[in-house]
Amino acid sequence: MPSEEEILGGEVQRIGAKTAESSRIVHHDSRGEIVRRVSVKGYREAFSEVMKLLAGESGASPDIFAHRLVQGGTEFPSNSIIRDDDFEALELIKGLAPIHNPPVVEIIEECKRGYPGIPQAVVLDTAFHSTIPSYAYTYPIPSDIAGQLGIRKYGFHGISHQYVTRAASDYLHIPLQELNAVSCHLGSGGASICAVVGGKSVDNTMGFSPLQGLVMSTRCGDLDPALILKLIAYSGGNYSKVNDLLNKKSGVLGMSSISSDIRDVISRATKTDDERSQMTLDVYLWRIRKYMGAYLTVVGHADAIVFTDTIGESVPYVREAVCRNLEFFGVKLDEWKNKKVSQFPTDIAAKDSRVRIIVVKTNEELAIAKNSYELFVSQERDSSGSEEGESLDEQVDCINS
Amino acid sequence: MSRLIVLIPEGYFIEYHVYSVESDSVATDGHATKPWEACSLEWTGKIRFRGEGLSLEELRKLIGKYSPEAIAVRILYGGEEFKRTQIYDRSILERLESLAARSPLHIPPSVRLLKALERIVPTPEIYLFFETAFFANLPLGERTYAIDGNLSEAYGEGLGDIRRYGYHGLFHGALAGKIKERGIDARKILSICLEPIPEVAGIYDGKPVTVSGGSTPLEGLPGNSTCGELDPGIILLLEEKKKWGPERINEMLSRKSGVTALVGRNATIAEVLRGGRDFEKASDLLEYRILLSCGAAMSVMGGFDTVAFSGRYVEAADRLAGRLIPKLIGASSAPFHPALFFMQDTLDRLIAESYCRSRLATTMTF
Repeated sequence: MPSEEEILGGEVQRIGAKTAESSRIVHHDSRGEIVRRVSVKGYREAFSEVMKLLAGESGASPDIFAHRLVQGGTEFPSNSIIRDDDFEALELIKGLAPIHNPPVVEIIEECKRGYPGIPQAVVLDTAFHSTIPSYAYTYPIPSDIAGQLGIRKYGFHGISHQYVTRAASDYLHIPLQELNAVSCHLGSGGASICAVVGGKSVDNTMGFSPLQGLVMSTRCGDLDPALILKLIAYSGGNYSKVNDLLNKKSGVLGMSSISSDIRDVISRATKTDDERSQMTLDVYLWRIRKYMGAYLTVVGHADAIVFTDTIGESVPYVREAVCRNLEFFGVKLDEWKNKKVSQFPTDIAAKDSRVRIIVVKTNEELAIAKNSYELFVSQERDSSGSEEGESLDEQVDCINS
Repeated sequence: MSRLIVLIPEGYFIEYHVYSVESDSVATDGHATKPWEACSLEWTGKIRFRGEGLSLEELRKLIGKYSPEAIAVRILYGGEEFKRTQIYDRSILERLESLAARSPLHIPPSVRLLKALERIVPTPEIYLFFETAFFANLPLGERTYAIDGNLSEAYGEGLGDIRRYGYHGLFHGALAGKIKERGIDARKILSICLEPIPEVAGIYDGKPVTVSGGSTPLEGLPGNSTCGELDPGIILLLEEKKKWGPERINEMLSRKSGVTALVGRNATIAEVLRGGRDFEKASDLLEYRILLSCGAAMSVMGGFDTVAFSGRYVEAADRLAGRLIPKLIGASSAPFHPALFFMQDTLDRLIAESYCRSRLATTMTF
C-alpha cells in the first residue's frame, strides 16, 4: 500500500438500548479528538451517523469499504471483494458468530444501499489460519457430524497474528517466508497464541470457536468436554445458562471474582495475599506457558516470540513470567529491556538468546486496509488486463465493526 | 509362598490376575533379590458383571481356589479423598460411596465389587489402588480450570471438586520409580502412556507437574474411541443444532470418536501408531497431539531428560519414538541425547509389585 498513514479514525460507543450514557462517536484526526453525542439504536444508524460526520471532512470519501469478519465459514473462507450475488451467503453466515457477524452483515447491506458504486471487501480473522494442516485442524469426532456442522479448528485473531508476524519479519530482517515464530496476541478480552512456520500459521490456540485455548477475560479456554456435559446435566439441560457461564462468567472474572482484567488481578496478587487472585494469575500464566512450549516444539527452530495487543504490549510481568525457564528452547529475556519498553517494535531478548523476543504494537485496522488494498489491486489488474490499478492511492477507510 | 489376586474392573468385566508373591523370609533376605520383581503371574481371566449385581459365586470360587492373603483392586477415581493406596475397611467404603456422583460410571461398580468381596468368608485383606492418587498434588495452575469458583452455588453441591486429575497414575507412578531405580536420569521425564485412552505426563523429580488427562479421562489425547480435547463451543453447538442431550453427546464423544472416527472403523491407537496407508491421517493427528502435550510438559519442566513409554500398547511405541523424539530434541537450543525407556509391564503386574513393596515396607517397620 502506497501510504500507511491513518488520516482519521474513531469508534461509535454504546450503540443500542439506552444506558446511563448516550451513544457517541469518538472521532480523531490530525487536529485531535472530538466526541459527538448521537442517538443510535442500531448498527445501520451508527454507520450513517459516521458517514454524515465524514462527509464534512475533506478527502474522506472512501475508495473502498473494508469489513472485518470474525468467522466466514465455508461461504467466505478467504478475504474477498463482495459481489452482488454474495448477499444471500452473507445471510447464512450470521449464525456462525452470533455476536460478531450480524452487525457486519447489516453494515455491508447499508453500504450497498447508500454507496452502490463503492466496492466492499471482507477481511477474515480466520484467513491467516487457512494454512493450518489437517492434522491440527481436525477434531477426532465422526466425520459426518463434523462435515454437516462445519466442525473444525478455524483459529482467530488471524489479522493481528499476520500483522505482527510481518512486523517481526521486517524488524529482524528475516524474509517472511523464512520466519518461524510463536505469536502471542494477549488482549484484555480475548487471547490466542499462533504457531508460525515460514511466515504461515500452522496452529492457533483458538479452535472452532473463540472459546478454546488460553484463559481469557471471561472465557474459560480449554475445558474437559465431560465437564461441560456435566454442567449441562446439572443445569437441567439449560443450554443458554452453560453457554453464558463459559463465555461470560468464566476465565479471569470467574476465577478471581474481582475483575475480568488480568492487570487488576496482577496488582492484587502481587500487592496483597488474596489467594483467589494469586490462583487466577497462576492458572492464567500456566496455560500460556504450556502453549508456548507446545508451539515452540511444533515450530522446531523458532526465530522469535512475538508479544502483542493490550496485555502483550503493556504488561512486562506477563512477558517475564511466560519467558521464564525457557532456556531449554533458547529463550532468554533481558529483564531490564522488558521493563523499559517504550517504542514498538522492540527486542527484549537477552543478547545471548537464540530466540528473539519482539514486542509489536498490533494494528488490525492497518492490516485490514492492507489486505483490502491487495484485493482491490488484484481485482483491478484482473479486470483491466495488464494495467496497474492506480486509482487507490488514497487511504482505505476501515469500518472495523 | 502366598498369593495376591489383582482385580481390575473394566466396563462389563472384572479382570482378575492371580500372583504368587514371595514369602516374608525371602522378602527380608537382604538386597540380592528384589522380592517385588520375583512375584509371578499364575493365572488370569475375566468375571462378567451380571446386570446390576455381580457374579458373587464366581468370585467366591476364585478366592476359594487360590486363598490369597490379599486382594488388590484398581479404582479409577479417588478424588481429593484418596491420595494414596488404602487398606479397605468400612470407613473407606463410606468415603468411596460419597464419590459416586463425581464418577458415576466407575465408583458404583467398584463399590458393588467391594461389598461382594466383603461377604466372602474369610475376607482377605483388600488393598485399593487409585489411578488418580499419583496426581493428587498437581501444581495449582495445572489442576485448576478457569471457570467460576462458586460453581456449586449455581449448579449444586453434586458437582464436587472440579479439577484436573489425570488417569493413568499407576503407570506413570510405577514408571517414574523404575527409571530412578535403574539409575537413568530421572529428573525430567516425559511419560507417554499408550493405553486405549493414551496420556502424557511431565514428571519432575518424581512428581507429576502436568498431565494431558483431565477431570475425566475424556480430556486430553484422543483414544481408541474417545475424542480428547475439544473446543467447548463444539459441545454447545451439538446441544444447540442437533438438540442432543448430554448422554447422546457423551456417547458420541466417548464411543464413536478418537482414532475410530478418523479411520472410519473400530481401530486402536496401537494399529494407528504402527502406521500403514489406512492409518496415515489418524497417526499424523495422534502424533501431533502427543507432540503438543510433550511440548507443554517441556515448557513447565524446563526441558526433558528421559522419554518413557508404557501401557498395554507399548509395543507400538517404536515408530512413534522414532518420529517424535527428533522433533522434541529439535526444539532444544543445543543438541543432546535424552534417555529412552520402555516399560513392558502390565497394569496388574505393576499393582502386584506395588503391593509387594508396601508389604515389604510393613514387615520392615514392625
